[in-house]
Amino acid sequence: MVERTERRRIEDGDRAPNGREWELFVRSDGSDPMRHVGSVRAADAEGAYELATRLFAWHAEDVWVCPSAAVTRYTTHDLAEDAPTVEPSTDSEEPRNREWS
Amino acid sequence: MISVSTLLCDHAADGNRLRYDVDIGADNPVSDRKQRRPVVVWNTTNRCNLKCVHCYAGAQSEPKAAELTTAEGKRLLDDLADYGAPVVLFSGGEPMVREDLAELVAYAAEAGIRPVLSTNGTLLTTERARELKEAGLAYAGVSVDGLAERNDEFRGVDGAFRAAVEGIETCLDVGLKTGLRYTVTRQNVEDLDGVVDLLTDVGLDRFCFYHLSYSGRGETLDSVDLDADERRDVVKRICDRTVRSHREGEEIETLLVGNYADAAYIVEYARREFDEAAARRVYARLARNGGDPTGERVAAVDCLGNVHPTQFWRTYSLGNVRDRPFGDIWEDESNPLLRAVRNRPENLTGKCADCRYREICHGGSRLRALAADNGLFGPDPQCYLDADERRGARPTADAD
Ligand code: SF4
Repeated sequence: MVERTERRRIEDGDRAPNGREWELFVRSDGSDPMRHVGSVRAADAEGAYELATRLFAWHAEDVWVCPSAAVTRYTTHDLAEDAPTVEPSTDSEEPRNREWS
Repeated sequence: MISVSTLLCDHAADGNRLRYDVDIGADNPVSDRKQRRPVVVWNTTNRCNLKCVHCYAGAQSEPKAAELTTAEGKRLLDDLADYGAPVVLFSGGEPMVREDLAELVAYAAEAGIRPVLSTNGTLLTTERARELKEAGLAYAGVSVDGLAERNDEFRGVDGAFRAAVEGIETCLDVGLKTGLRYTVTRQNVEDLDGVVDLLTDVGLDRFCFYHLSYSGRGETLDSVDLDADERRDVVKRICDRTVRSHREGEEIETLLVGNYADAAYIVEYARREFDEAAARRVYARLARNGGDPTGERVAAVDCLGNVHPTQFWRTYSLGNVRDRPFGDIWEDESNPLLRAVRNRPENLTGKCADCRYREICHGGSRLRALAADNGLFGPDPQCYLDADERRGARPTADAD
């Protein structure tokens, strides 16, 4: 018997610190499925579409935008669950990217 | 982030020496993996005690309800540690308004991620600076954007300059490595030397100069952005000052941030001021480091968990860490935009397409190119290289 996957519902809420967030879906060409490609921040659907076309027009045939707050999400990933212990890095002397530090 | 002092003066600052050393990491796959992982800027909050006109985060004084909690933040840090992120930069808003900051810094340090801080400095009391130092904070970058009058006007609060300088002094007193963050605009370019002089006197030796990014409130500020001649002039002044101070035995560290045309300019500078061999050496080091880091060597997570290709690219998010672990989002090259951004030298258009410096510049900022309507892979309007500089023979990267 296939075990049922446990998912939790992510709390609904605003996903934009300023303005509104819109989930973005594109289709590269006719026979491809719609693909979720992140989200854009804009005041309304027209603004979201405008932004999306500037980022994906070179690639996509179809562009859909959907208010992020209208999506109810269920996931196996739980950011709020008790954090497991992480082994400290043992390679602290190795070369590291220090960009922005 | 381009270290002028390392490139022009061989300043062996922590991290920079390693970042630019072409020999290290080549036969060490673990090191190489770490080297390729992004530094993660975590904008822990959108709240701020100041009202800076150029704030890229568009910060507010009111809290945003759904900020990542302490528990979520720790889980995020675990995800980042699992993924091998080398550095987490706690930013904001103003990260010091989060009361759990030291707890998160300690958590990051224990997980093996180097925690660093970007702050306006005005909340750095001795007690909090010491608490952060003891938590394992490796570095604090404090923003000052002009001498007192100009800085306070920029920051929207009287006394912000004095408070930031006191914050810097406090960090130095408790033994925390500290540096200046200075966003150069037409309005404050004249104050730059005065600020560096003043902070050198209080004991600071690391100075990071930022070009204006076009996002957050900065988007409406292109009228105060420097033009090409002004930009070239200020970058030259920074290079001159760095070389001079090293010749005089004063080992200051200077960095340029946010415009990779600077990388090209520094190669040209080395050729003009030193010789062809020096220019090739500088090029080789920059080639190792790569160009503009957007979507590759730098990532950002905002206060609500959205992952951005840089901390300045707020209007586009790749995904949210509440839905998927950071590493899954960052590795998901089924996203055509992310894939294309990571192959920029091949996709660049306009004058960047045949620029000899495209490998060490990557066409500069995608955000500014978009803001200038140059298209996603068009040139950064802040590029100040002239046609002769762009078109010469490409320096070889194997001069070392
Ligand atoms: S022309 Fe393009 S690639 Fe060359 S330095 Fe300027 S922005 Fe960079």
